Amino acid sequence: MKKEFNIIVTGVGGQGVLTLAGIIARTALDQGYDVKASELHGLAMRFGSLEAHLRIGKKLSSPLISFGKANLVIAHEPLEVLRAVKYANKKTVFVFDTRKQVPIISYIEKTPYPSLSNIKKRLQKFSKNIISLDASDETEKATGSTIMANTYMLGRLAAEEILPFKKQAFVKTLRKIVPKYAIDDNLRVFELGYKSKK
Amino acid sequence: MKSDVLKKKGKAILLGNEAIVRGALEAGVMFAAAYPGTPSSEIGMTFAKLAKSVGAYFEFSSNEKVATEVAAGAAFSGVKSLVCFKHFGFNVASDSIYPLAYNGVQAGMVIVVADDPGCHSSGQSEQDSRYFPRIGHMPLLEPADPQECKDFTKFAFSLSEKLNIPVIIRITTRVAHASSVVNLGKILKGKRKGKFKKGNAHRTMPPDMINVHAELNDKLHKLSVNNKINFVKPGKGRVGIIANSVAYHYVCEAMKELKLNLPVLKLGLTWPFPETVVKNFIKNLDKVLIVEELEPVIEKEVSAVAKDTNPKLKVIGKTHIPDICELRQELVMKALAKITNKKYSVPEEVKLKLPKRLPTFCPGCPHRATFWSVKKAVPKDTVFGGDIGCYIMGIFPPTNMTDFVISMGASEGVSHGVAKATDKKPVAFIGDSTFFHAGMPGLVNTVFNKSNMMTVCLDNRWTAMTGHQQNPGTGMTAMGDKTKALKIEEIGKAFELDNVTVVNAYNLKDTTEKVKDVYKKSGSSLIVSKGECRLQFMRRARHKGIKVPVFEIDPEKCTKCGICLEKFGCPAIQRTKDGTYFIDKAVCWGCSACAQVCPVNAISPVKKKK
Repeated sequence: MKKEFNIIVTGVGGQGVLTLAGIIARTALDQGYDVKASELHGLAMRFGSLEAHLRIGKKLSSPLISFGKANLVIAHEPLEVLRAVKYANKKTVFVFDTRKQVPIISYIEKTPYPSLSNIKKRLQKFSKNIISLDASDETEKATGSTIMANTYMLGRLAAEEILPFKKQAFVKTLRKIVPKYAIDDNLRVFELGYKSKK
Repeated sequence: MKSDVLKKKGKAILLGNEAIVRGALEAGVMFAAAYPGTPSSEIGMTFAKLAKSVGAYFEFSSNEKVATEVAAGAAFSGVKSLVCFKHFGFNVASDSIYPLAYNGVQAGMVIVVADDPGCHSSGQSEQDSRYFPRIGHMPLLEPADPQECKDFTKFAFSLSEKLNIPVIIRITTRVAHASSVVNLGKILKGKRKGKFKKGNAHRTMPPDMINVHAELNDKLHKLSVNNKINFVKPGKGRVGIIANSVAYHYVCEAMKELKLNLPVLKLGLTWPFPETVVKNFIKNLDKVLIVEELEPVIEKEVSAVAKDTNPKLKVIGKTHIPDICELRQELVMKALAKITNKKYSVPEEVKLKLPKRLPTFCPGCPHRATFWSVKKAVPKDTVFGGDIGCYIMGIFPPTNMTDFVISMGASEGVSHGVAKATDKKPVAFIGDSTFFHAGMPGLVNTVFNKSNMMTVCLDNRWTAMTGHQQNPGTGMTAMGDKTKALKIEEIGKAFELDNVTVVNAYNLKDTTEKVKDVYKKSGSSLIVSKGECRLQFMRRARHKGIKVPVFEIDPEKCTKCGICLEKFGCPAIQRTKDGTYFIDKAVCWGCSACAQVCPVNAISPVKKKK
């Protein structure tokens, strides 16, 4: 791995943004890396935009990622991936779930929600490395709920080999931190995400 | 997600707040109290979760002042204690905090205050709590990251016991909610019970109080700490930097980026101000940049020290570093590039024009329904008082009702003032936890001073916004023990309000009618709108495997009037490009309120497939 690897995880409060960041962070610690992360709680979590910073490396200082310095942006929602472009550069990989959650304000104030193709077009101005996946849709099909969509995304990330960890390292973390009653479903969804890479 | 706070040894990833708990455990703390408030809440929640397993006592008290008093009671009894809250909590607790140093403590006592520069989760004011310790005659420690959170907390207890006064730890959002690798120490089994020491009461009474004041000033004047708390990161040149808290890490990041190697003095103890350390650092410098968030607290002290030590020193602070909002490394880079004459274009923030995503009531939230019902029941120009909690979002569209938000419990007092100063009848909205916290004196005052106003208590049984902590209405303590669930309507009756009425938040029509009736009656009235926080309700249902019926919109009946979405504003309801309304079944939590606001009965529960 390079000296450091910077990840922005975004989404809507309640989508499991902090959980996903936490799983990656613990996997990194197990692999002997230094980890620095920053997250927001409280008011920001009530269906508002949420942005977590996660840095993995040797010896890190700031818990925040500088503008233009993200290696990877993981978004649980397509509009939120656009909000994170300030952290992107030409090499950044964008990974986002295609399931929209249109903010109510966009109906009220008539600020239109961009189409998926428009979102991709706008992302391409920053980086060509774009992976869109139907994490929520596929998770809902498999489990009847979208709650584990973040685990699906993690599975896909493992398959893409963007992060400097092997698939088994993530599985190990999942086994460690997911409560017993939910572990089987999580591993199943993780596998679905893993196999979604064609 | 499981936390590693109790991990025996080695390394763990801890949140700043968790690291504070770990530090307390390593100092042998067995007693803590709190009132939740972002960004401090996880300190209390972590204690609550592990208290029983380590044999400690923890409580969420009814407010921060009470929590402070509870912790003081322990410290007066020779039992180490910790109390924590957010910056506004310090305001509430301050009346009880200031005399504590005078009284003195028999065991270590640490007060943790979490500031929120940038107000990510604080609707009131942007506040720098670093002024408080000066008034309170207590040392102030400012950790910069989770490792320091743990180490400083442990140190704070030894310092408190050495001086016999409480020690304050101030963190900010980016310290409290930063997580990083922490080297763990050994957890100590401390004292859970002690013996109250008599004979100190005179210390907070005149005339002794004045002598004690002198004694305190002297103690703080003589205090010096080791070079792990205040340290110099060596560098070259005659330009130096002084930084505190997370700003220190922004400085390190900025220097890396700009390839600078300037000496940095990192201050961990900022009150009493470490004059000697600063003197030694600045004596051979030409320029010093002070990097601190919010107010120029350190800057003013450095300027004062420099007057004697190095009068020619250029002290640069708030002219280059913003005194509002939170800092980022880019802002420090900008300042550093400027004062070192480096040609460097600092990356600017790219801002695309995108639809905003404001926080909103969750799907199925009882508050949205109550706001809706009350809006229907009272005159259009009614003044609506707001308070602190999830229902602060009554200010946002489409609810657009809340006319002011001041502080915990202020909705009633201010509304009463408005009622007296106008001929209007205001409506004050207050949540259950806020009511128990500071809402009762305001309500009593409406009776005492013959108010003509209405208070609507949004009673969802939890302190929801900060992460669903227990409150006096929940029926359970923070440690999970059963206790009385206080009924707000009974309190209203005991306060002899003119009208006390209970409504079901999820019955919109009935609520509107009852509010209408009560609003017509003169005097002081209380409506208690009951409906459990839907998030908690859903969590329980999920855990028990209970399916909550979701709703759907019949496209044949729907007239596309938009009331359910554009006026009522439930996040589960969406509209396609061609204007068809539908409910996202993954987001719907089955409260039925949308079915009640639909004027043409187009919304109903999804029928079970045969």
